[in-house]
Amino acid sequence: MRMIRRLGLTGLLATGCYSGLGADGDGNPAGSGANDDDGGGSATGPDDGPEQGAAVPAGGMRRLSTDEYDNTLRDLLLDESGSGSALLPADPRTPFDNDLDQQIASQALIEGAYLLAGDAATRLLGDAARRDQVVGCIPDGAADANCFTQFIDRFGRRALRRPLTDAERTDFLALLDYATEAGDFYVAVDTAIRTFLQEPEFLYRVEVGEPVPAEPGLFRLKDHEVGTRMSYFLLGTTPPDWLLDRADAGELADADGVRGAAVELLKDPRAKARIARFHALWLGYEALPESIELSAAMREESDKLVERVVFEDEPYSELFLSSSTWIDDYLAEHYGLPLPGTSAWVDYGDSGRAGILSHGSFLSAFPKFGDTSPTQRGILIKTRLFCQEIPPPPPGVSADDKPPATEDAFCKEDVAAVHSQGECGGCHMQMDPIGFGLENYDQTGRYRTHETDNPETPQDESTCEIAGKGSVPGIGEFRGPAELAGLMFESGLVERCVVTQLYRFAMGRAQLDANDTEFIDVLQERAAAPGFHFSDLALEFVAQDGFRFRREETLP
Amino acid sequence: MKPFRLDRRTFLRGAAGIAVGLPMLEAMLPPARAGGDPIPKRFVTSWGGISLSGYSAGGLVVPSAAGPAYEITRGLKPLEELGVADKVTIVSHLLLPWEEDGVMPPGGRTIEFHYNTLGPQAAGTHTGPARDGAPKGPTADQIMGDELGGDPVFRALAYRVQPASYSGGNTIGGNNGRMSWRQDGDDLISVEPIVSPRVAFESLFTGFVPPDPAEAAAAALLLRRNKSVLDIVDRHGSGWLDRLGAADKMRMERHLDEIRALEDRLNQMQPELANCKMLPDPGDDWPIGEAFLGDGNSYSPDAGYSDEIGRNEILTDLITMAFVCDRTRAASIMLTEWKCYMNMFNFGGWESDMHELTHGKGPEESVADAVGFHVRQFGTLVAKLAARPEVDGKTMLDHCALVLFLEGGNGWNPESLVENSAHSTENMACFVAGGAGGLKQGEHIIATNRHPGEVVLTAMQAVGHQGGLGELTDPIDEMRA
Repeated sequence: MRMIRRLGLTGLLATGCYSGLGADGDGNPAGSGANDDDGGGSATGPDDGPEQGAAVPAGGMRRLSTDEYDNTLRDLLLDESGSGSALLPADPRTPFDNDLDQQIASQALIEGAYLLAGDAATRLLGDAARRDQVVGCIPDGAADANCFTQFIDRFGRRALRRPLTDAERTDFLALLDYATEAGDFYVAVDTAIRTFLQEPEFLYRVEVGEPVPAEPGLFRLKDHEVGTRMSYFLLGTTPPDWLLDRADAGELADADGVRGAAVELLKDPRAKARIARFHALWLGYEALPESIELSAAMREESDKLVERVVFEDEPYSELFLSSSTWIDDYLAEHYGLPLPGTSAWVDYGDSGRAGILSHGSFLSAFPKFGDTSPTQRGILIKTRLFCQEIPPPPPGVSADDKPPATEDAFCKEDVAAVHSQGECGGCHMQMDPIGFGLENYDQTGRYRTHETDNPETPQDESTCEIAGKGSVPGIGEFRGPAELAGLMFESGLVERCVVTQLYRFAMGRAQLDANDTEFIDVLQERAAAPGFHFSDLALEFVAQDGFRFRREETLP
Repeated sequence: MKPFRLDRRTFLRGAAGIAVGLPMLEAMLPPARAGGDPIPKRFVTSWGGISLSGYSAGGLVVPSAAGPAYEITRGLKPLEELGVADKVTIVSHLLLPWEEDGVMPPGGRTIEFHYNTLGPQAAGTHTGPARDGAPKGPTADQIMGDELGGDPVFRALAYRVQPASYSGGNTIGGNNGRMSWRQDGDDLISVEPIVSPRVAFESLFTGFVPPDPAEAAAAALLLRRNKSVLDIVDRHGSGWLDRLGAADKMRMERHLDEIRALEDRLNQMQPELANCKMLPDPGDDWPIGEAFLGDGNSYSPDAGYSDEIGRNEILTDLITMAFVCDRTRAASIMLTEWKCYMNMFNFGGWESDMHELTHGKGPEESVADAVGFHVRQFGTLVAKLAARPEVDGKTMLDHCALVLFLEGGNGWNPESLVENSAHSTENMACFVAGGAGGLKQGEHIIATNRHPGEVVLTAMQAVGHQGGLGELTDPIDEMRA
């Protein structure tokens, strides 16, 4: 409970729910000292560059992912429709959903955004209570310029994540003519919302910054740009008003200011969903291919563990080493664990399970040929948890075709032994032994002693006893998730990989260059030593100079 | 603010009514074109992420004999049901060659299978390296969009029917769901298809006037406001250009190009052509199906499907009306993603996905049904075009060229060195419809070892294309009378 005490999270976590505009209508945290000075959106901090030798990654304008779009609509318009996921093109997963290199403007995107903006405005105006909350004032007539100006200033700042310029205000205020013409104030509101939701600066997080003197290609981000970066990183949505206030006041210009704001952001209930999403994308359980009931139970199990480790501030290794899990009777029965009677933390005992590697969510990833695939599980762990590259199969090997069994070799380990000879062995010996150590757990996370029979094959695989013995090449042997997790942390590989994956997620970059890896190196050294806490890592991440600066991208 | 909205079933019934061949009334005929302009030619490509068979060369799809009035096999049954078997030609025994001994043939593929068979067929280019399957040149639909003329604002429609991968494990999006690439100066750009029928509908009919006067007035006001919206958006976006770095400037310019294209679409008036009218609003999209496992022990018949039949009905209605209104003369419609994981429960009761069925999860009949699903979707568009009369007494279909090509055939798999594999580009087949340029209709043509991209090329030439397609130069003469 270290961070709860340190950050005062307890009250917020206990009260739970979040209202998009906040209890006071501005989303201000208690005692934030937020003010109404718009500050003009320009940086007010020192003009010096980053700390000598600080790693500054390249940054480009990133489009909101569909998830971020839906979150942003929820918080701007109190709109829970989640309609972006239905009408915008799907975001490619690499494995995260915000990879800058994959974001290409298209007719499908523009048409989707156009339709979504109109839908959102129409829905809002059809709900008087919600409309009044978002508009923030009650007009005294169709042409109430005062109310419309208040709305434009307040909503525009939230939508564009900075105060509007005078020229922009003029453009938006001119829309009041439509209200006059129609004799309906809300026609102008509707038109303004349609406009804001299609502004490139709404759909993209445009970062420009101020040039750093004598450092060509280096820019110090403005406070609003920093606030926006932080908010989408930690909340997956638009900055709350109090954060915009701090940006207006120039309080995000240095590491202390950014760190302090990040502490507040992590107290926001929306951070839980964001951090849960990071883990689901990273570990491959965002879309579980099980029944709806089983998928929901598995997802809750993993989300609860992530929440406990991150927000009750346990050492991050507990995510993998935890001796208990959050399950209800349905999932307990599925796993063959003691029934808790209600959703509760249940001790694994000496079952051989520990942490998230025992969850059905993780174990359901990438099965093949109707059963678990030791190779695929090995690839998952090597690439996602060790951040190691696995080359594609060499010519002459199809990963879609099941390796042929023989009368003498149809159990998986025997088949693998036959087909991992020669040139295949070099790679397979890096993957398969890891997967074989998890073979006692089927693709839904149930314990088993024998392989699952495939009725379409002539052999009876249920006669294949699973040895359950695995190894991480070069590191050690293990049986089951608990021992594998122990080995992982003994190896020291996981800490660096967590930092790398978090970096990819936070910065929207799947392919890393030298500046990226330098940033990761520094961050790992400062915040990801054995026993580290995720909150410390997140706070140190945003406090790095590289987070408040950007390097100009080089064209390919 | 929508002009009007009909129940989806009403809409589909109405749309289907077009397809069953009502008598051609005088009023249905488009007016004679000014100056005796010829009837426009139209071109459509379609793709299915399925192999012809996992068992035998023709599977249960390709008829055994060549010629007209071909045998209606299990996989071709939908053509008979739709009444278009005499309009769809099958070109079989095709071969998409692969790299051997370091030599890549024209329009060839690397020996890895799946993502690399689209480029050779859609663009006539070879693919690679390894599994990178993106075409290396513009695809036929985009080329014909440029060449066939018509309204430049809707140069070439790009739709996809299957809205999601369904496979879980974050394998969503990207090139898996694209079949169209366009050339923009030195850049080859993938075209993200419109997947949502609602978005496709709104995009096509913006600017059309609803018949009800009150709704028409409201729509006109909304249109005017939306133009103001885009004008502001364009100006504000353009204001960033001088302040952005080179990479971001390119991103912003591309975004603004698309905004301006939308502005152009908003400025289009409803064409004054007979039968050109706004279709009923299709309403909200069907929910997108959940991820599922076609080979797992937690198989669900309800997951992995988003009513692709209904989605195809709407998208093919839109293509048809876009042709009637002469909004476009070229289109691509991707029926399923590459390596399709769509649930087959609704198409024969097969408890698996298409991909697994081709790998032994189901019998040969199940693969024929999966191919038949694509044939039905393609045949639906054929039927709709065949029901549209033209002033010369023929139908719109008679002036079109449509090609459906698939991901694989059946035969030797050079990757895993086995025979009778679905991971093969031997014994491929394409489905062709339309009578433009003397294309034969309703025949089975055996074109042994010809490239499936040459089928596409032949269709292109039938609507007036001169020259080749990518690295392919030779049309299949037997396809034309």
